[in-house]
Amino acid sequence: MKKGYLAIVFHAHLPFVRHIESESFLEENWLFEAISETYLPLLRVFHRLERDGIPFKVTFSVSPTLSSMLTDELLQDRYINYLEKLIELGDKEIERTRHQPEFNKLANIYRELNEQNYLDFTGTYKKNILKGFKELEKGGYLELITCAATHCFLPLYQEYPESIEAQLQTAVMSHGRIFCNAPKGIWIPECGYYPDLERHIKANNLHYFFVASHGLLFAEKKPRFGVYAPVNCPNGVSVFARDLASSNAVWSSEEGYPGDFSYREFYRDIGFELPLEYIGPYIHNGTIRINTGYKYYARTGKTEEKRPYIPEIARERVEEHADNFLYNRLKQVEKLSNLMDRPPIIVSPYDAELFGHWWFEGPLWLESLFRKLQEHSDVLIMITPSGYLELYTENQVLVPSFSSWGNKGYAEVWLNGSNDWIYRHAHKAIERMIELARRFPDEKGLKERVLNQAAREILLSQASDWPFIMKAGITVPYAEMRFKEHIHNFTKIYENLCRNTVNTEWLTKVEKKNNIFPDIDYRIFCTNPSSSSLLINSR
Amino acid sequence: MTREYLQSLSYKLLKEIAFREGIKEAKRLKKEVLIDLILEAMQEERDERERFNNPAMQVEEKKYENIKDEEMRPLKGIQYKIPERYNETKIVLLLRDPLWAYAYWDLNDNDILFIKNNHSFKKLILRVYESGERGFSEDIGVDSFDIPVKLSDNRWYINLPHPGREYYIELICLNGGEEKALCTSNTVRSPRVALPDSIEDDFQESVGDIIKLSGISELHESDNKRIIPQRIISIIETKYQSPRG
Repeated sequence: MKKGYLAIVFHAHLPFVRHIESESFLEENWLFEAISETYLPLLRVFHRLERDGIPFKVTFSVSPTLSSMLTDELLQDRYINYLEKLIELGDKEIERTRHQPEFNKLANIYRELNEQNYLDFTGTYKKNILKGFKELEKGGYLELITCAATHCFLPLYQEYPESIEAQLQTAVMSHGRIFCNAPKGIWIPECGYYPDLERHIKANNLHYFFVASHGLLFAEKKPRFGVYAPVNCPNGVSVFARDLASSNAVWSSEEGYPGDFSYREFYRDIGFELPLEYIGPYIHNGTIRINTGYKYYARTGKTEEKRPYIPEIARERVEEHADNFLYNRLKQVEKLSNLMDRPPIIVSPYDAELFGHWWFEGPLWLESLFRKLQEHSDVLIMITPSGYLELYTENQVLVPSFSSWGNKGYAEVWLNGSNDWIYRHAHKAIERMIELARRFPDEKGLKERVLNQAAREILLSQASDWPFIMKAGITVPYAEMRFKEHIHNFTKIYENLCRNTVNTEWLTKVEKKNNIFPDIDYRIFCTNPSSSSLLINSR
Repeated sequence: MTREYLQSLSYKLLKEIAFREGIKEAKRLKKEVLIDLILEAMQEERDERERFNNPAMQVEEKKYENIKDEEMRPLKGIQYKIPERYNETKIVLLLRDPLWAYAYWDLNDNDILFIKNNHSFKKLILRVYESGERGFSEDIGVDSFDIPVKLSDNRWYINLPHPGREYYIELICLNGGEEKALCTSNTVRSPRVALPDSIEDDFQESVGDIIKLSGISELHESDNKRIIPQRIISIIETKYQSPRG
């Protein structure tokens, strides 16, 4: 039998959402939902596989904004409050549904899940779930990689190499501080690549990154192994391309596995359905309806009349879908092996939050798939990109093409009529930050604090999430407010420094609020590896 | 918006929302019927958006979907002021995809005053320069075309004639028979959107099959499709939409 490799890559990311000014803030629930429905369930899957001696290997990118939030004490405590409320809601739901056995069973399941999350979060991980990921990396199961500092869509900032450098340097530094390890690779946000990005990737000691399939297929030279082997950029950085067949089998909500009618319906949540007097204490400010995670219906089909969710039937479908995925990959390997002089690598990257949050059964599907893969390990082996690069050191040399995995394959999601207004401000702020870093190369004390905060605000303004949300039409006022907040804060600092004044009280307030990247050094905005040296090397 | 939220609104407000949603007969309808139509129109909007999103973007959106009544939360009291403009004469070109670029620009107060006080001022134009295939540094043959813009404009989406070329733009003031370039943008290179013809070694035979397996088998149906990158990407993606079949 001929062999092939499967590289499963998860990208976990949420923008930095932390609002000390308010006791509870709606957008912080993005994080809490992801911890409850994705990160903790995935950790439980990984640990079960580890316990059973299943030799899985997965690449996991944790964005620096997400890892910062997961290690933030305020958010950790707020997550515990969030769970306590949901456990209380679970008790009430078990009572409320006592005469509806099909719903009562589900209420019990959700109550148990929340209880398990509480125990794992407070007990096993002592509030820091990244410990779980670190342990798995130590055990050789995960390869943790980084992402740009605030998930900036890099092609739209390519005119400012100092800013690209700041995104990558900060990311690598943050990864080192949180995971005590240097990342080997990087997930470039939204697979947004432009020729020359590899210069910055190499300068930050990162060895590989990923592109959309057309990034390789439309490269300057024909990729001799298509998307099934990495290529090297002329500077030696390796590039892996996404395999569309395996990705879309899982991605597509309509045609992919998650669209199966037996699976749980995401949109039917009691937070939107039960009377306010009952559900009030568990939604936002008692009046704004939000997800609670208690969802009792199956997808059923394109109808408003949904059937109750039956976990046992969903479980059967999970097994079938894992078999189907495996069958198709084995077929793929068989076809490719005859055409290549080395085993192909199928790269399947996914947003981690797909699993569990959107596709409730996703973590179970992964567990089933990984167990089944072990039975076929003579033909299809799980591998990380760096593992593959150790085995196959000689790769074709070419420069990929500008590309992303967004709609239509380029930058349209992040540059269109709904969000294009942000770039004149974002770019101007960068120019001013570079100017500040050059004007004040050796500041200490208060002025250094001011300049460091300016650097934080710039990076936060560059999150791809803000233009993405503006385009998507969901919580647009929040995205606009966040972008404006960071530009406003930066501009205030810039103007104050031009007048040689510092408002200490205001600075302290902003530092406490936007406290990401505690070890940031504003001088990163003087760095451009094109000159093959740093304009300012050290303090 | 939830039905509950809509029910809490006045009839007048509902009519306004209905009008915004393109429901023309709103005036004559009962409140409950109006609410049904608004919800229907919003669902259609969501479905439409979903259709235009590829699977990766659909999933990404789900991360942020935890509220339906955004209107109940206007984020009052949180207003951050940002500069309207920066009083500098400057033009920037951003590449959106192989066939479209976005330009934004501004003029400083002096330039605006100059234009306003100049009696021979005729119009402003964006002049788009296009290189040959090897870029401006190596190609002598350079093409250009003009786009008239108003003094009040400050951004424009530009249709690029050919993928795989370099482009830059100038903002030009036409005064009588004279031209004055006010500012020049950065240069962008639009990516190629077809498979390269060359392969550098003896793998030529197998490459075609591997490329097909990579998801590009339908790309050469016609020359027209070859030059529409969005269509190419969409073909690649939809080809893989039925894994369960």
